[in-house]
Amino acid sequence: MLGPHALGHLGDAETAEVEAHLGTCPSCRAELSAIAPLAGPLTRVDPDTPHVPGVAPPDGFAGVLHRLEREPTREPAPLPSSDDLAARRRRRARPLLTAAAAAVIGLAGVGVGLALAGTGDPAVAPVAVQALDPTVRASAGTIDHSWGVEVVLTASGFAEGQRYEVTVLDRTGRPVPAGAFRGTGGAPMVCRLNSSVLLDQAGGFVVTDADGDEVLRSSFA
Amino acid sequence: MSDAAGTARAPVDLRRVEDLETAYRTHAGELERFALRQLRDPGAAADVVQEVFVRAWRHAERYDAGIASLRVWLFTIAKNVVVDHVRHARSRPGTPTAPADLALVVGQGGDFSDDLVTAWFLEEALTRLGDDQRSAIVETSVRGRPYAEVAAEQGVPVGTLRSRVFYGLRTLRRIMDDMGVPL
Repeated sequence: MLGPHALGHLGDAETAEVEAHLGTCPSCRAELSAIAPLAGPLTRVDPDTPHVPGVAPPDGFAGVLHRLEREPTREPAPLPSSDDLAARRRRRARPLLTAAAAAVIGLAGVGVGLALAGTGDPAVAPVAVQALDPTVRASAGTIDHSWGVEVVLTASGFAEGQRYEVTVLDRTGRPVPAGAFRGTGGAPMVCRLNSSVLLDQAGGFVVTDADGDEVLRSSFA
Repeated sequence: MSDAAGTARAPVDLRRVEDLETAYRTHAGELERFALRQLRDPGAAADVVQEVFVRAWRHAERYDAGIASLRVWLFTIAKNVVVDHVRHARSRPGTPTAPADLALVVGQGGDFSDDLVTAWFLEEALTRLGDDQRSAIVETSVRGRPYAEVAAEQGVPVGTLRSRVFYGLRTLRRIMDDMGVPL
């Protein structure tokens, strides 16, 4: 009767009987204390809606990083394997992502790199990216504009302070500059890079380091 | 062990974007379903998920894998965000509040909203029970049907049904402990 008692399902007489027993039986008291906390939550259970594996909302993480960019000044977490980097970060104590945003360099002409300015959340279509540098973690998406394609690059692991260039390739492989940024090490960064290549004519983009070596490549479906 | 060493050995550090992103990819879908069930508004549910991960990043140092699993910790944050959302919505003039939402924020203290998280994990735990114990608990405790009626339907004495409820509850407790859900 202990189960129904824990759930409050017994009548007065049986409840009194169980409680009399509990007064003399530590073992049953322990059993009751283990299962009693289930009683309240069980009344909130929905038995008719099965749990199914969830899929993370598309583009949602870019939105999270977008939000983090606006966080007040706070140093990023130290990289676990680098006390030196942590110490440098503590000294600098600059806002997360602000450095990344400020480091995006606008280029004259057709390609202009823009720091993320928090101007709403247009639909971002995810695209495949392949980092050729194992320390780089990145995802990207594109936004279709009438004036060209915008690439939203969220990443970490680009060497801190180093300049990287982003080039959009059209369907024929012709490179068109889309802006540049400076790496932020382990801190997350979000860059929006604009190109005059229209989305339906764009084949992908590449990120190259100061030596011109390719660090990351993306192909648009 | 110094704090630095402790941090260095921590398996999950949500201040690292890659860990945060991994947590997002692993848990965001389920968190969105949880928020959607409470709020019945897909847009609001998506906002809740985003806020959960912003708060997780903001308070990453509070996460202790020795106390709760990451999943449970994120759900605890989600519950708070849902309650905040309902409170905020109620503060807007002319915004009707569903009775279930009212229960989230009025007169129920923290227990009710805590129960929402526990109930979510209980639903999963129930699926891991054997059929006899699960149906005994679902029919009597969740659906609130009389024991005599359920026992007759299942072709067992009431005493057997009560026994299944007890052993089912005991197994549920063990499963919840294994999942790291505090009770």
